[in-house]
This record gives sequence, structure tokens and C-alpha cells, in this order.
Amino acid sequence: MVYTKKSPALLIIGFLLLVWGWLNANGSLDNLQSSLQKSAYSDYVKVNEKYQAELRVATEQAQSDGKPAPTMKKPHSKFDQEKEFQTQFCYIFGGAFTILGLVVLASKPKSGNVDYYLSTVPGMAFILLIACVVRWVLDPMFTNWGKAVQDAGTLSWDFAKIFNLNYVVMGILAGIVIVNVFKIPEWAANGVRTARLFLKTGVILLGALYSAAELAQLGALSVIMIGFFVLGSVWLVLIMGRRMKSPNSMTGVLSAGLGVCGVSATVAASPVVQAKSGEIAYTIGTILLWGVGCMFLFPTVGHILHMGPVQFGAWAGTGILNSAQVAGAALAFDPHGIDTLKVAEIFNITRVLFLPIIVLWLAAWFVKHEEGAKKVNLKQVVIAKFPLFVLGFIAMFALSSTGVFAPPGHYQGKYFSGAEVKEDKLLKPKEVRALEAELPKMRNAEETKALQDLVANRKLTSREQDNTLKAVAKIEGLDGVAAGAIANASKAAWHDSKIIKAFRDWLAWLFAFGLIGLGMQITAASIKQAGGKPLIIGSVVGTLKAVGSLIVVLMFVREFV
Amino acid sequence: MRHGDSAVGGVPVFVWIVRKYLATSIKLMGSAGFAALNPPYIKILKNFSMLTVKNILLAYHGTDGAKLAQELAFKLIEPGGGIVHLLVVPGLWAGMQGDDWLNNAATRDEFGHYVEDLLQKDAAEQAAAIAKRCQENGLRYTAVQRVGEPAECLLAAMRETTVDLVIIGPPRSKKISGLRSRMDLEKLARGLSVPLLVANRG
Amino acid sequence: MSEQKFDRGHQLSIFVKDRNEDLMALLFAFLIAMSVLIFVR
Repeated sequence: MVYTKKSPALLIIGFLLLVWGWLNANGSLDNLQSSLQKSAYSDYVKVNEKYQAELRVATEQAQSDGKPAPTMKKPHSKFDQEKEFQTQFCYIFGGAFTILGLVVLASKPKSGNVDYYLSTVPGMAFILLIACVVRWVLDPMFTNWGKAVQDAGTLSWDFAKIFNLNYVVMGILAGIVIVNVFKIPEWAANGVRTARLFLKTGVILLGALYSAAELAQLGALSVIMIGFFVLGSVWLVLIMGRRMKSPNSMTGVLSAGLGVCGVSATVAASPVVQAKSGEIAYTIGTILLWGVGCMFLFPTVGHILHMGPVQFGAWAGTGILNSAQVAGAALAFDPHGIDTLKVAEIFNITRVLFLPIIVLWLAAWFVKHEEGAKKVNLKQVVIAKFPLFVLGFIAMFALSSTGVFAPPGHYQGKYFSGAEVKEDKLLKPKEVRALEAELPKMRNAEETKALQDLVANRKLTSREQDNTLKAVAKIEGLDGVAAGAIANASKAAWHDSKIIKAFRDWLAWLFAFGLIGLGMQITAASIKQAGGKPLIIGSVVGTLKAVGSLIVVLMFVREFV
Repeated sequence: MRHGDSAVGGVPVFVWIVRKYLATSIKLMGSAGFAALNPPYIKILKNFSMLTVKNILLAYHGTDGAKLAQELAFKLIEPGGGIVHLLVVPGLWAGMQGDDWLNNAATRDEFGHYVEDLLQKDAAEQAAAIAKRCQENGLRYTAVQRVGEPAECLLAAMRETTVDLVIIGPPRSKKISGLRSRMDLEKLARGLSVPLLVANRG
Repeated sequence: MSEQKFDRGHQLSIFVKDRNEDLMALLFAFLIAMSVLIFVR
């Protein structure tokens, strides 16, 4: 079978990206970009003003010395960086898509791997185009609107924030709308399925961002919570199924789907419990209905209850039936950081590790209750169902814990380094004087020493002293300038880890790509199949799980990472 | 009409009437109209059982409604005629593993095979049932199996085969559970080049 | 009438096989990690 469809679509997408890159490079889009990237633009204005002033002073100086006007390099603002990134991104991908688009049009593909892999490119380009539009245009637009509406007093809250109208949610919505309203174009069908591939890539890469302590804590928490709720709901479904006199195959497939990780578990368990086609359809329909509903509901509830990343990640990771929507909800809750995603993905991984266990349990249960059921081979199930990407995740974690990517202190994305404080970030003489004046207020030798060191070095040199002085800054009656100086010194000593930031940027794109692509595979036709006993049992178990895990999380889980 | 008027038994005028106004206990969803239904024709239609059709496209997939369509088809088929059995596997199945990403591709493939085998087995059973009945009645039997949207599949099957009439079952009652995949009657009516009969319930 | 030909020799083909998805995910992840390591300083 030949998969590649002759269509100019890939060429057109490539061309569109190239045009966007080119317009960014020559400044034609500066007006639009300045209204979209508001905070980056204000940085640009600041940087530019400073530059102009310095240039003026230097020019005047040169004139009075009778020298020619000096040339100064204009510093890069965040705005320039953003535009540069978009330009490069568009040139790389637009160029590749244009070339491959020509190949698609010119080649006569024969059935084989070349044809298969070539056929995935147009779909990938399609998703990437949507990701760009959502991330670069819609996301900033809604952020601006949300703020504008709040500032104008029309609403007392930021609607874009509360309803999570960020790039993740809008990307998923765009995917759902495209598949259900317009249908996936034929040329894109094969590429849309690469969404899973890139989600897996994202999770493997995420492995590089955990510290051992973090992974141990989160792992323990997830095993306890998932263990309780997964085993609990599998057991509950088995009981309810028998009470309601459902066929064994239906009960089996439902308990896997509702208990472990939604559609993935249904897919893994269906052949084992010999589910009938209708039962599979009902179960998956029910799970999708709940999953999609929860994905939009959970982040809003999370914001209203002011949950932290660990709390929300744990809740979403336990309470949302379908694993694809767990990642979606975590990113919807916290689209510009990855703390929540890190927690939620650990829960996802724990769930998928429970899957072989549940499949074995169900297989045993099915053999016991159903005559003529085939016995399964324990070793085969464990090996076949153990997800390869989790091995990748573990390998990546092992690799990163050797310190190849970043020193251990860097995993939070920021790290402390007194040595790297730049000259212009050293404390000003006025600040130093204000700090000296406060020395008598120190409550112990440690605080005195920390302050003396700060005064002497005009910067912080150790993380312990940073912590000590943070407490000092809170002393009542402390001079405002001194407190400000401590804050400035702390800010100057903490640096963004460039490598971790690069990882995060990659992750944001991989997950956005994956979730948009998965959104494109959520069809209303399959959600409509929700019905019958599975819908009743699903609703009971889904509600119990969502509410139960929320209560447990609020009562027992504290932000500790 | 593509396949010659003589395909339906009886005199040509009568054929014309049948094609154009076949209605009452069975509904006509064909080209022209319903509205033009006049008393003289109703009289003819009361003698409905005397009508026969040479080639019928029967949409049958084992549901209660489809069984009614089957009965009607065997009542209307001319001796020695042919039945084209269309079996549609709803395209919505493609969306059923759409949201799974945790599993290894091999597990997903195993599920795909499992579901396809299930549906294939169902289809084969239904095809065998109709084929057997055709054989018993000395009728030609052709099976057409398609994956996709029901109305589109039916129209495609109609274009690819030589049939004079299409028979489908009534939509399932909302109280009865089952796969939700409806025939889009509007789309069907717009694309038909032969008349359509919808079997009635009881 | 023309019979549809399918990928897996199955008469009924709904699902398309994802070729080498898991290995590709591993490969991509390591490529990205390495490129970050090499290019970001």
C-alpha cells in the first residue's frame, strides 16, 4: 500500500513558514509582534532607551574630544530574541517542508519504508503549523484580552487565566475542532499519528529534569496514590459489574479502562478479556467523554483552590481517567513552567507500570469466571506490555544524574552562583551603606557574618547566606533600601540554567505537538458511543476517583519538592 | 436511471409508477416526490406484493432494523434476481485507539488486529447468512464490504454495482443500545440514482 | 468490482500500524538531548 498522497499541502505549509520567518527577519511584523509579545516588547523599549542614552553620552564625549562618533553594538532584548527564534524556527522547518513538499509532488513512491515515512511529513507539518499559530498568535492574544478585560473592570477576574486559554488548551481544542468539523485532510492522516511518537519523546526527555530526591519523593507518593485508587477502582468495577450482571468481558475491559489509564488500558486489556466490539466502543466512548470533560474542568478547579504544582499534578495524575488528558490538564494548569507536568508525568508513568499487573489480574479473573478462556503467559504479558519509553525515561534520568547535562543544583531551572554575578549587578555604594547601617539589628552571629560578607563582596557568595539573609530581610523595622539590596543581591546570584531552559523549550514544543495531534484523534463519533452500563459504572467510578483523590490531595499532599 | 427500465418486472408504465411513487407502508426516499402521491397510485401500491425487482442492494449488518430490510428484500426480489449485500463497518472505529499513547506500538497493533478480526468475523457471519438464504432461493449473491461513513459507502456500492433498488432498515429506537452510527438519509437521498426503500417497523 | 487492497493482508483494515514508533521516540529523545548538550552553552 502506498501512503504518500500527492498534494501541494506540504509545499504550501513550508512556504507559509518561510514567509513568516522572512517577515520577522526584515521587521515587517514588528507592529504586530509588539502588540502580541507585550512583556518582551517592554524589555526592548527599556534596552533601547538605555542604549540611546549611552550612545548620546558617548557621542557627546567623542565630539568634545574631537574624535569621530563612536559605534556601539545595540544589545539584544527579549523581543529581539523572540523574533530571532521565530525566524530561525521558520527557516529551518519551512525550508525542510518546502524541499520535502517538492519531493512529495515529484516522486512516484513505491510501497515501502521511504513512502511510509515520507507520508508522515505533511501531517507533522500540519500540526506544527497549528502549534505555531496557537503559540505565537492565539496564546498571547488571549493573554492580552484577559488582562484588558480585567483592567477595564468588565470582569473582576482574568478570564483567559481562569479558563486556561493558553496554547495547550487552545491547541487541543483546535485539534478536536479540526477532526470533528473539517475532518483531517487525507494528506495529513498518516502524520497526525506521529503525535504519540513525540509525546513519548517528550516523556523520555523529561527524565533529564528530575533530581534523584525529587524522583524518589514523587515516585513514592504516586505509588501510594495510584496503588490505592487504581486497585480500588478496578475492584469496584468488578463488584459493580457482577452486581449489574454485565458480561465478564465487559466488566473486565471496563475495570482496566476506568481503573488504570483509560484508552491505553482498554487497548491493552481488550484482547486479554476477549471484549466484544460493542463493549470496547462503549468503554472507550465513556472514557473519552470523562477524560475530555476533566481536562477542561480540573485546571479551573485547581486555580480556584490555589493548588500548587505537586498537589495539582498528583490530583490530575490520579483523578483523570485517561492518561492523555493528564498531560493536557497539567500543561493547561501551568503552561509556562514544567513543575506540574513533571509531577503529573510521574503519575502517568506509575499508572502505565501498573498496567501489566492489572492485565495479569484481569486475565486471571477472566479465566476464573469464564469457561473456555485462554490462559495467558505471565512472562509474555509483562514483556509485551512494559512500555519501552519508560525504559528511555529511566535511562535519561540515569544519564542526567551523572551530571552530563547540568550540575545537580540546576534541575529547578535556576541555580545559585556567586562567582557568575556580573559586574553591573554588584550592589551600589548606596545599598552597601544602607546594609552597613543595619548591622546592629542582626539577631545572631550567623546573620551578622552573612551581612558583613555581603557588604564586603557586594554580592552573595553562598546559598546558605542567601537563605539567612532572606530571613533578615523580613526583620521588622529594617530599612527599605537594605531589604531591597538583599533582594537584588539574591536575584543577581541566581541564574537561569541555559541547558535546562533549552530542555524545557523542547518539551513545551514536543508536548504541544503531541497534544494537538492527540486532539485530532478524539472524534465525536467515538465519544458518542458512551452509553449503556459502561456509562453508569464509568460515571460512578469517575466521580469517586476525581472527588476522592481531590480530598486526599488536599488533606495529605503538601508542596515539598 | 442507469440500468435499463426492463430490470423491474411488469409493464413499463407500472415500473414508472413504482419508481416514482412507491410509498405508504414503505417509504420512498428517492428523486421526486412524495407530495405528488395521488389516490390511484395508492390503489396500486396496496397490491404491493405483486411488485418484483431484479437487482437489490441490501444494507444488512445484523441489527433488528437490518433484519426488517432483509425480509423486505427477499419479498421483493424477482425469482432468479440478484442481491448485493452491503456491509458497512463504521469508520468511527478508527477513532477508537486515537487517544492511546502509553502503549507500545506492538500492543496497539495487537488491539487493532483483535478488533479487526472481531468485526471481520461478524461480517463473515452476516454475509454467510444472507448468502445461504440467496442460495436457497436461487438468487445471485454479491457481498460488498466497506469501512467508512454508512451513506457514503452505500452510494459508492450503488455506483459500483448494477442494482435497481436500495433497501435499508429503519433507524434504531433510541431506547435500544447499540453502536451509534446512523445513515445520513439526507446525504443518501441526494446521491441516489435508484430508488430507496426504508423497511418499516411492525 | 475492484477489491480494496490493504496494508496487512487483512480484508478489513481500520488501524494503520505505527512503524518503529518506540525506537524512534528513544532515538529522537537522545538526539535532542545530545544536540542541547553540544549547542547550548
